[in-house]
Amino acid sequence: MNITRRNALLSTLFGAGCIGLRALATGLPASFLLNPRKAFADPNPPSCGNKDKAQFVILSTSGSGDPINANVPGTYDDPNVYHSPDPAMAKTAIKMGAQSSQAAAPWAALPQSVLDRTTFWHLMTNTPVHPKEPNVLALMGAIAPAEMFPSLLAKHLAPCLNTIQTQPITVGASGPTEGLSFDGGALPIIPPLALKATLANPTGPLGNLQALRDQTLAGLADLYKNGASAAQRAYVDALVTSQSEVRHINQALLANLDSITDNSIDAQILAALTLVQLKVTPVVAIHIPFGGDNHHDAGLATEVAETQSGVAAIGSLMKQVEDAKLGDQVTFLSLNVFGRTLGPASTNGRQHNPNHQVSITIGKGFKPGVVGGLTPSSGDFGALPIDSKSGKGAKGGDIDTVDTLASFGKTVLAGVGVDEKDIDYNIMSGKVIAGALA
Amino acid sequence: MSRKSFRLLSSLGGTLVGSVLLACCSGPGASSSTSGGGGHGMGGNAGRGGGVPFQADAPEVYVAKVKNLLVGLPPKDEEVKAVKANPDALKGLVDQWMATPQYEAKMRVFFELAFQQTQITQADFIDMLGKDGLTNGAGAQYLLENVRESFARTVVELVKEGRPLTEAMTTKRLMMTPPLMELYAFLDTYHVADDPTAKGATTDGFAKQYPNAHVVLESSAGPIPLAETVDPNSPNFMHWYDPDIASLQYAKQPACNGVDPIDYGASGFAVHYVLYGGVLNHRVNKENCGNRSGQTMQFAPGDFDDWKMVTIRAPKGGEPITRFFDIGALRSSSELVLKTPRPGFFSTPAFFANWSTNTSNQMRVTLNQALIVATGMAVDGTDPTIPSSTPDLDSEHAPKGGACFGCHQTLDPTRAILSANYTYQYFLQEDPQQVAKKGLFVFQGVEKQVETIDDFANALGTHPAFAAAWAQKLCYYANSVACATDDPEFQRIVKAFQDSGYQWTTLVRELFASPITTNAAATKTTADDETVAVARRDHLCAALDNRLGFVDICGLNPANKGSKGGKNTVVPQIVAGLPSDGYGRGSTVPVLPNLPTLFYRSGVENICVAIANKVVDGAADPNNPDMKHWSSAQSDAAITEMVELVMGLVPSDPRNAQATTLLKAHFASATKTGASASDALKSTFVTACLAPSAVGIGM
Repeated sequence: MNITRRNALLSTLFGAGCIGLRALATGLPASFLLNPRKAFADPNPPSCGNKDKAQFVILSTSGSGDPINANVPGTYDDPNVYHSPDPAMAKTAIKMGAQSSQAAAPWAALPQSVLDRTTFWHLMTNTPVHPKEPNVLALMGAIAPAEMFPSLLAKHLAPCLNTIQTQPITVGASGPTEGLSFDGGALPIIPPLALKATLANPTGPLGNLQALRDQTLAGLADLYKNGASAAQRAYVDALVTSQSEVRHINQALLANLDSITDNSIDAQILAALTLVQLKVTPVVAIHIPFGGDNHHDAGLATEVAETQSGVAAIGSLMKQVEDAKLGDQVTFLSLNVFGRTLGPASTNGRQHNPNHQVSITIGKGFKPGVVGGLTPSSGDFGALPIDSKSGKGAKGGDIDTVDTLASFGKTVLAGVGVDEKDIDYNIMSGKVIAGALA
Repeated sequence: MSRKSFRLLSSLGGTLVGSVLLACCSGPGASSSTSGGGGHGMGGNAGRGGGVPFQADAPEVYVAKVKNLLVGLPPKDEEVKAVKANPDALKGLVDQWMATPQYEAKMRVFFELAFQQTQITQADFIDMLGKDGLTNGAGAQYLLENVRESFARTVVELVKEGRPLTEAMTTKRLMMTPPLMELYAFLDTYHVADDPTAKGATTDGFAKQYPNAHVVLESSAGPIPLAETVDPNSPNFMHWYDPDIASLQYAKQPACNGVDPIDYGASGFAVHYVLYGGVLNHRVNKENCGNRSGQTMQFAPGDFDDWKMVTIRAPKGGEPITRFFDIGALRSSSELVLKTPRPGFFSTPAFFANWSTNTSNQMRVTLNQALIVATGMAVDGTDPTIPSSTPDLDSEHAPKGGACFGCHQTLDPTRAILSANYTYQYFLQEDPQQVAKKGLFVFQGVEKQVETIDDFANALGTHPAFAAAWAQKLCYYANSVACATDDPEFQRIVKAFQDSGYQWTTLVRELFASPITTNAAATKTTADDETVAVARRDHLCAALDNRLGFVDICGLNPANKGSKGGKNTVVPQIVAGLPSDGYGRGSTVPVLPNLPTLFYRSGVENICVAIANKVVDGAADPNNPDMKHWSSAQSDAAITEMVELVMGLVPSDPRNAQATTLLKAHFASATKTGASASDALKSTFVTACLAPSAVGIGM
């Protein structure tokens, strides 16, 4: 082993998230910077920015890095991008608002009303590593104080939407890596079946006695708080708050969950929409598969099948949103850990691509079309820099490729009505892409 | 600090964080504990925050906490009194509790998570065994549970034998059942190539050894003695009696219905399925009759509970490997002869199923997770260790001086020994080029030549970070947050663990009797932030089972779902969404949701309601023969017991009398509203069941 002074110093200063350097620079003890619970304590919680623009957000995220980026508008200009020859994926003209492009047939089959609110964002997540899914959801460290983007969104939207709780919910995470955190604490993953059984209110005699129980529990809460430590009192208060939140749930709407019989994507969509209708939370995370981690995908068969089923799921979600008359109040967005390689070698599978991931937004706050673009990069393809005024991908764009992810975050915040000053305060790099806003 | 200065400094830090992340560009992933990932599991608890003076917990609080964590039972009055009289008495109590079966069950759950042997389904075996995963048939769930439990049971057994915990890195003795022995032996004879889609990717060792065999499922001729079925010299060799097949139904393929016999030819894969009740797809004329999950296993249900310590060893000379299909021999033997090396926690089917690798990842994830388990640290680009050489470095991807070199210079040489022993589908490595590879273990200040997989296992067990890593894992279990590693009390505990020769019982005793867990006195850890967390799934379910006499009320054992304690209740469904302990890929800290969200509150209320209907004036339940029964005709006695048993408040606890008064008042008020005594007592139970000390750890 050979530990040099330089290495030791570098490790101390730059290791563990540069805590050493930040401690040196701020004069704050490293323990403070290392303890997110204290760093998170914000004396000025977000207030509502623009109630008219505020949206419930249904987020699809995948730590598998699905090939969602392989068949969307913007990937058909360069002939070296490989697409499945399957007729079901044929290159098809697609119109999104005023913008025309080409995409795999399933995308073009979405209803025009949906396409007229659909935006495809060509971004770089800057990681080819599955475990970085939480980091990507935190915009790779661009958010300060450190927070996941869905939670940042939720914090700003909850005051506008008057939701029962601020924290987002995930009903679709396929494992802990796709779980969400809020203020540094992990949030539980609640699959649709569990959600249905969890939220159902007791009926019969025990349901009738619920109010009386709540009174007794209030007495017990006082009892436990008497003489308790600060942490114990805080815990009891949190229990009381959660009970109050439960009692605010509209029981009539809960019947919507009755038809859930599994944890499929259809069930996730129904659960997400019901949670929106119940105004439980501003942000619900689901997982729509789009081909998964398809290193070995003979003839791209899985990619083909799941692109079809994935787009159909999005179409179904947006139809249900429309049927519920929530079309102007719900935005769908997607963000995956990374995209896949696109080059000619992709005939039987695609590898991780740190340089290109495509996010999708469908919502009234965004100008339909394609944001950013594609360029040859590192032997395959990567995202182009973006011109913030037009939203177009351009080599000389003022948003560098590495900042496209943070810029996406900023623009989404702007699209759902978060104040500009709050956006700049919370996301430390990138720019709002004016050309992507409706 | 002003907002502006905070932003500027954060921005500086953020940029540099990015550069560190880039340095690990294609490694298996850095810890998400402190970087932008939001720190799964860290914080989110109801902490004291800065500036609030330390307040010690009373013995009635911390004795309840420690006993609940270790055995899921409430404290006894005499136990609390003993600790009040002499705080050192807690160590003796911990020793007593460690001798109970409830402790063993709790530790099994802890070890399953700590050694990353759980969080798997049958589908996680698809890479190894094809589209149906592990197997199908009635025995599939039992086998999966055996796979999950095996290593945790092994460690519990090693601890009982007084072996050091370091042996968990190297052991070749594993707790197994006959079906699990079958799986290990089958995986030793079956082989799927690194590219499972390639032509000829599968090699069936059984078919090679018995090319003329016919694996036959048959029913009409009646039972066939097992000894004849497994005897290659018998005319009944590989003829398996399965009464299911006569009634197999294929709605759209009538030609497939009731075919008897079904002949698979020479197929070890078919035998593996048959043993668990599976009926593989087969052809009848030109019809392809699909897989069916049958009810008749060749293993007996009791085989899945027949745990024993089994020694795995390599064949000597030309010795044959253990025959996977010889059920009788598997039942009587405590030895497995296998070509595939299986030392320690990192080579179990469960660990491999958790962390699938491929031709792109090339064992990097496997290595990183093994390092996380053993040392609590990951390859994240911050390791200052410079290797003396870099064998097996992917120099095309990670050239010296390039962004990726930082991780790969240690990652690639260290993972080489895994590739030398296992294929990317985790079968025995037989590619001479790969086998010839020797590794160099380079990680966090240690560099060792590793000639064999045993050398790698030893490097894990002797790593200087081992002791602190396992003390920290136990800290998370006890307190739901990390202990401060610079806390002198933490360091004392680590040293006691080391000085004991890595005795697990010493670590448990020292940590659970320490103020670091009890909060009885200020330590650097508790002064920084005390934690009160929700009773997460495993703790809540263990408490319900152990206090109320249920048999797996939550249905956590997949083999029990719908058939044991939680039958006909919504409990197992709700439990699927309760916050639970977990581990994530690349993360050095466990996932520990601590907050009582509305979902937790709502879910637990419904669980309590479901249980109330069983324990108050409920009928006898054959699935829960020892279930607690309270009669509404004796409501006072019932309420007194609920306060002690469910809420965990001993009679000498000042809160006991007031809680009893509140619950009795609730019962009286409920009956005044017209509720029956039975419903009133059920509602009283639900109230006790939702009390802060029943749904929180540290109250």
